[in-house]
Amino acid sequence: MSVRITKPKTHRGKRMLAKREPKIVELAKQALMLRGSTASVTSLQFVKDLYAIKRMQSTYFGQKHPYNPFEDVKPIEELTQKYDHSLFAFCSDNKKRPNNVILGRMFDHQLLDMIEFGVEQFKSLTAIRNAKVMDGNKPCLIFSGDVWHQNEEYSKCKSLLIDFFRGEVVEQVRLAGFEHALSFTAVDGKIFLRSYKILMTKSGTKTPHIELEEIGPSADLVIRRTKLASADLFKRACRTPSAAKPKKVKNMSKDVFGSKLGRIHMPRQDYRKLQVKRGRALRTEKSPKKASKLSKK
Amino acid sequence: MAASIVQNVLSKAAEDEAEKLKSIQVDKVVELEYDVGNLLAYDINDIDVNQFRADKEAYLANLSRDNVQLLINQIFQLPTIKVDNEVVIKLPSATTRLPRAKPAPKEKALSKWEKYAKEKGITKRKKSKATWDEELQKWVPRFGFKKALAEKEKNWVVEVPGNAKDDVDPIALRKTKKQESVAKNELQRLRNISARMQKSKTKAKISLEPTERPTAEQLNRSVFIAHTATASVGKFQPNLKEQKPVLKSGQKRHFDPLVGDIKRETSKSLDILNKLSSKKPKLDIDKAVNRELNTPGSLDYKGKGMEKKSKTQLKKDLGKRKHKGTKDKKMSGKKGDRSAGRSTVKKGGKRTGNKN
Repeated sequence: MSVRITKPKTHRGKRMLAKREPKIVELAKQALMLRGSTASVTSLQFVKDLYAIKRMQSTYFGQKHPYNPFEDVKPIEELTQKYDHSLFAFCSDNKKRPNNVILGRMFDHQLLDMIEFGVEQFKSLTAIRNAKVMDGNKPCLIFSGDVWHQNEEYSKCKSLLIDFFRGEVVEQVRLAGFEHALSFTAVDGKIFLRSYKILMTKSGTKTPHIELEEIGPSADLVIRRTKLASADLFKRACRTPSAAKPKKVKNMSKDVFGSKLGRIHMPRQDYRKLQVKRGRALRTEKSPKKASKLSKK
Repeated sequence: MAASIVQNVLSKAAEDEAEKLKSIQVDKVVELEYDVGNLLAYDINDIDVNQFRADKEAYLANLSRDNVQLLINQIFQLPTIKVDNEVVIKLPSATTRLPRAKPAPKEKALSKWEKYAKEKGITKRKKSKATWDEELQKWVPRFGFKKALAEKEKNWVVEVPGNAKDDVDPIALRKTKKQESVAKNELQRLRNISARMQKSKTKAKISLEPTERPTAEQLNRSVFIAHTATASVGKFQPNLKEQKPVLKSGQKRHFDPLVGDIKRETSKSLDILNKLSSKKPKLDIDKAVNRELNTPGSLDYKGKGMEKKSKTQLKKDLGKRKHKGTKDKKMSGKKGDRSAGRSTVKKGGKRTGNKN
């Protein structure tokens, strides 16, 4: 990382820079939704729908960006650096690759990996007319199919999709907070993306019975080109700082009744500080200043 | 009779329970993998391709429902707490390893003052934002434009000492003084930054061993070494495709000009002659310093509760001690100064003695 030499001129600028500095525990990743200059209606709508799903953690730039990420990723890297985002979606369309969408992520504002999808059988969020889920809802992610762990490309794709859609990292969720489910099914060489609203009905037990209602977007995605991170770069990106790791709890246990037991180690006791009656010989000498004061009295 | 009624009731209750469970139970051959922290479930089971192809949408909807049900079953077994009259489920931390957006923050190298303060145990004290000004009879902030205004108000007149020269403008003098102190601060800030950069630079230069993320300089250096590692020192080595011209690195030899400073030349030659003719052994100061530092109790200042000396100071001391007889121009010129400098250093204060 380069050292910043010029000082921020305003307090606000200083705060903004501090906000961008790397943190031990990171906030949710922000996504940049970009419209390519050649985007078709379908691919553009797909990116817009992604933006609608992720509205809290994304920014949509609807200008026509004349980029080609697989040939030169630099302009996208620069954009993500400028706006401090670490995910991006880019749409384009041409004869060879119709309805093209690229999803990618950055590490330290440099490309980590990106995957190109062809969008088929697309049904938009707005095409299905029903009540949608609330903004900022953390979706349940369902991956089905054994390809996800058998194929290297698919497993990286799974990691990317989780990163892209998981939303904010939260510690607790309301009982009614499970509203949205995104399902990715890999079969027949395609990834079937379906988005559902979760309807909970009473089952008589504590756990509700689940019904799903499709809300869109739904699409059949075909993996096209990929640019995956090298193993060591990916490993470096995944490294958790030692400060973020949970501290080991030592010398603590619980017994069968559920009460906490702890073993403590006592240092050697200072007998001079012990409150006991001491003989004159054992008393510590008073400082001469104090002693003279006392004698004056 | 009574027994049969009881049995009936019990069996009915069990049936009811089973019925209730049925609505939330899903059978799978292989259990799903969960990462409840991310609300994530992964179904490894094979997908029935024939059934899937027969009716895609229905199959997907069914599969998703079952998997969401299983995930919700997992989630609803977690402990709940009440927050603001709302029951919430406490999620465990996520288990899927995902890459970070930025590398973990590195510890910033300490500035010169911070280092000094740490050594001396000086801690920052919280100061009040404003101070009471007796002269103005009001609260004045410690810094900022209001402080500057207050200063202006207070120092509207400057006392000129009687022996001052006529052409001295005291107000301009005050202004330059302030500017100088600001410039000094800025210089110190920049010096700290450059020291920080220098530190990382030297590190990169030393190691050409394989590192995880070599810097551009390291790469350039290793390319240069590889390029020149031929019998012809890289003269006939063709460049690779799309390779930028290899930047030469390493130290350049500097030669003295052939004509010019005669004084320097004579002194240099005399120095060599002196060294050759003297019977005293040659002194490798670096080596001596290291030896002195590593053997305990070899110098008088060690082990007497005095501070550890810096390497450069040690070098100077050693040089003085053993070079007394030699004709070192530089050293003999500053003899008096250095002895004074030595005593001040020992006190552990500022090293001002050397600066004459």
